[in-house]
Amino acid sequence: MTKRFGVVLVAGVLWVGVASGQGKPISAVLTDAPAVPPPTGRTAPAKVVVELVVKEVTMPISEGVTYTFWTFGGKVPGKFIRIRQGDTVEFHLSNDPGNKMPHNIDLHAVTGPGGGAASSFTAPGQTSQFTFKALNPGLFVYHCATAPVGMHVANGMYGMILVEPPGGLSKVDREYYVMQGDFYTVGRYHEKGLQPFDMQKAIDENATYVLFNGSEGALLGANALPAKVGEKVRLFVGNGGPNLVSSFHVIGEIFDRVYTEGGSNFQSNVQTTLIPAGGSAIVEYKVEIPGTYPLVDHSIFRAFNKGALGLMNVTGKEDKAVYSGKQLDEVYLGDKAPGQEPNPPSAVTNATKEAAAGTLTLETQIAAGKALFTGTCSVCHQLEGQGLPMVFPPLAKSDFLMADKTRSIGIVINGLQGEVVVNGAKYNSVMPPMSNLPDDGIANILTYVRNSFGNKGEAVTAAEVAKVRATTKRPAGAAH
Amino acid sequence: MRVAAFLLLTAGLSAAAEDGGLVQVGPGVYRPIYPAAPGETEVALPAFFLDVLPVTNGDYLKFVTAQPEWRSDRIKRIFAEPGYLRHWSGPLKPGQAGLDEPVRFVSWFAARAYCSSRGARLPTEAEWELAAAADETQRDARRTDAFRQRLLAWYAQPNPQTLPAVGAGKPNVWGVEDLHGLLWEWVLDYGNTMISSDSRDGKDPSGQRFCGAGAANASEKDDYPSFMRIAFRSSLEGSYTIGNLGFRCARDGKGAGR
Amino acid sequence: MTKLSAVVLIWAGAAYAADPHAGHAGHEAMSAGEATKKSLYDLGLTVVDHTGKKVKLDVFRGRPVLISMFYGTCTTACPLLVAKMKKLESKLSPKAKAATRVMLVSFDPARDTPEALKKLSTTFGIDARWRLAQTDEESVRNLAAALGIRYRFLEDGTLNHSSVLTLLDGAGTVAARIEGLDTPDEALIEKLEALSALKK
Repeated sequence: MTKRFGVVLVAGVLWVGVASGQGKPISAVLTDAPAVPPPTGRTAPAKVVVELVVKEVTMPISEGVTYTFWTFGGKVPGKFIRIRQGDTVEFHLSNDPGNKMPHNIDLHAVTGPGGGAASSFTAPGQTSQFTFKALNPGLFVYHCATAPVGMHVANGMYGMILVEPPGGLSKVDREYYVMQGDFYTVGRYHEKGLQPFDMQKAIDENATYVLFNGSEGALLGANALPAKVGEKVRLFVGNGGPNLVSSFHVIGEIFDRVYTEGGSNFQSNVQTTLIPAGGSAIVEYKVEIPGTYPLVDHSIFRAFNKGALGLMNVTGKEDKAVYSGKQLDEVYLGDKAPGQEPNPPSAVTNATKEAAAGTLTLETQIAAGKALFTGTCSVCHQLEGQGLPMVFPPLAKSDFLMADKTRSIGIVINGLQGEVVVNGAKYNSVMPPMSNLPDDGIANILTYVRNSFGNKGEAVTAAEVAKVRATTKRPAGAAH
Repeated sequence: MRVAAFLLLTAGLSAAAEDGGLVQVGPGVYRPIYPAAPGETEVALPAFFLDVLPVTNGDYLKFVTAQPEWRSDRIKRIFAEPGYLRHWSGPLKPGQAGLDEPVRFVSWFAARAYCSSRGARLPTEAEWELAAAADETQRDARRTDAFRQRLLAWYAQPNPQTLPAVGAGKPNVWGVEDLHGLLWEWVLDYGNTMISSDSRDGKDPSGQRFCGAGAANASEKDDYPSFMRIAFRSSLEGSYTIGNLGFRCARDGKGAGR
Repeated sequence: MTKLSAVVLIWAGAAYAADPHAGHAGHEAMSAGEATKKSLYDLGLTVVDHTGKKVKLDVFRGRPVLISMFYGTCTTACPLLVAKMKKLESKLSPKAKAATRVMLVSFDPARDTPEALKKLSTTFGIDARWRLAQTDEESVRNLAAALGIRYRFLEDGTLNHSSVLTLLDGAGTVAARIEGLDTPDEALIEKLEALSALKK
């Protein structure tokens, strides 16, 4: 009896020993940006199973603009994976049967041929599996490495894997996942509709969009990252590229610690940190003052003209000793402020929809025009169109503006220089051309202005704008 | 020159009439993105015949009716994985799948058997690529930006739920249609392009397939559509059935064997 | 004695269950039920071996079989493959070695005639459990596709090909597979031992 028991016991021990390796396998918790999985809290390495599905999916990249993204897990950036140094990861990569392309994965955390790319090459409708041991701690990028690699990355196939050092990272109150990427479309910035990928622009490194977390509104409005005064915040910031290096900066904050390039050592008191394409950084800062803190790529045209803008909303008690309390937003943000009133971003989409259906109303144009006016025109002409005495002419009850509709369209497109008299006062300033705005956007803005601040006038149509654009010359240096 | 062209054209037409839907392609020179060995940068291809259109559900239905061992309820698992003809509602019922739509969810083994049943075969990759290099007006449009952009735009779009019927586009300069923009197609030697010369040294020949190695050895670094087709093919195994993968058949040129 | 075999069986079974399919691109996971259906022998191929005998590919049905592809005029990879296989055999238990058969099919039937194969059999120093075989071009293609072996003829007549060693169970389904000449063979050997133990 005991002999048999002994045999079974030996067999059982052998079974456990062979089958489990590092204990019972753990199924990895994967999150979509900006959420981060909780710390592993483990004191010893384990076997971790990661299951990731590649999905090719058409999603909005900006208001009224869609793009066919190739994703790890359905969103851009791909799922955040969090493991511990020494873990053995059994990686399952599935390629959704509805996809068109083969895909694989190269994790910068893997020591081995292609970072796993060789073992994970997967046709649509198939699953591949490979196993690796996480030898080094750090914050690593992963991306698809199927030829042509640039195209797969440009379509959004990147994400991050955090390999915690033994003992984990220091405790903070908030952790967020932010990943920058550059996107290349055949159409111009904000040109509506489904936009295909433009290979030549990608080769020329001429990005149409530079975005955090795969879409222009990903960290704006209701999606702004919340935090409370006094909290320690940690951002896991990645840069999927494919081409551009990021100069990552949070306006109004100084990074207490930057683990440059996602490595093990940190620098202190940093304003702006470089994140290589295909690289990462961990930044930590304590938020002291309530307010809105924009996240930007400080290659500043990318923030204001290509969408590399996100927001952190800090709520709580003010501390006037540290900051006097004047709102930061209006001065800093130049061409692009977040809505100071709750302007629903859908105002612009509504206008586009109605225009396409031929049912565009004055009200819709005004709402859309207001959303665009705020932050673009209001920077100079001010929120109530009052202008700045002796500097910027008013739009409110403006005789100059309302006298000639066609002229006003031309001014928005081509700018204005030289002396003008508005409401009896002289102005001699420079208005830059706004020719980068699309026809329908300009039409909506002018319709709003012509029906606000005490003005009353008829709407302006996109067709009228197009006509003026076609029949007038752009000044040198203006956007097409 | 005109007479020769005329004769070629009529030769092609008569072949088409005789074989019911093939045209002559080539002779021509194929420049592979991945030469088999350094120095083998040009492959001279004799003329061959290629189906004008991909094989349709209707064509394939006739085949499985006549050769029931290729029915989805009877096919041996070594020849096709379980997704074989899953877009049909039954082994002999295409159902929602239109008869004029290209057949898909077919494996390489099944495609070979179909072509065999017609006294034909699958085209080789070189043959397929030679035919596919052409657009409506020129034999080799691969370096043309417009051509590349057109192809890349299709690769960038997601798969539609149902594929359109064959023959909706324009024929290329050889008279072949639907080589681009409809679905991927099997070739006879689907997996063999990215085998490197390293295999003779005993090193892993599949290293060519991935990432840096793949780019470093390519002869034409800008021809992204070709890269993508080769990448797709090299991910395949003979028993795979995929929703956007179909095929067409080919025949040797006149005077050659099958 | 039976208890000991029970232990070995349980342990071997555990080893089988624990072994992940290590890194075969696109290789489907096979459930027990499905595995019995995907048999290489369903290809229905016929080959001619180095003794000149015409046999069907399933000549060794019922036994574990090591199968791969090669060509005779190959000067490096193929001799290395044979050496690897011999080394593998030397690690087998006497029972497993006795139960196993080896089938090597040539990519190149034009040059690897039965006579040429007979000469090679002496050069390679193989015993009666091994067969060197050739078949027609169509069958070469079908077999390579089923085994996931890639090959490409060059202008000078040499071949580029991947080196893949496959273990078939008695029904002809794939029990293990190693790709590349440097890949470790422990997992394959374990499976082979397990299959030999099951064979009475």
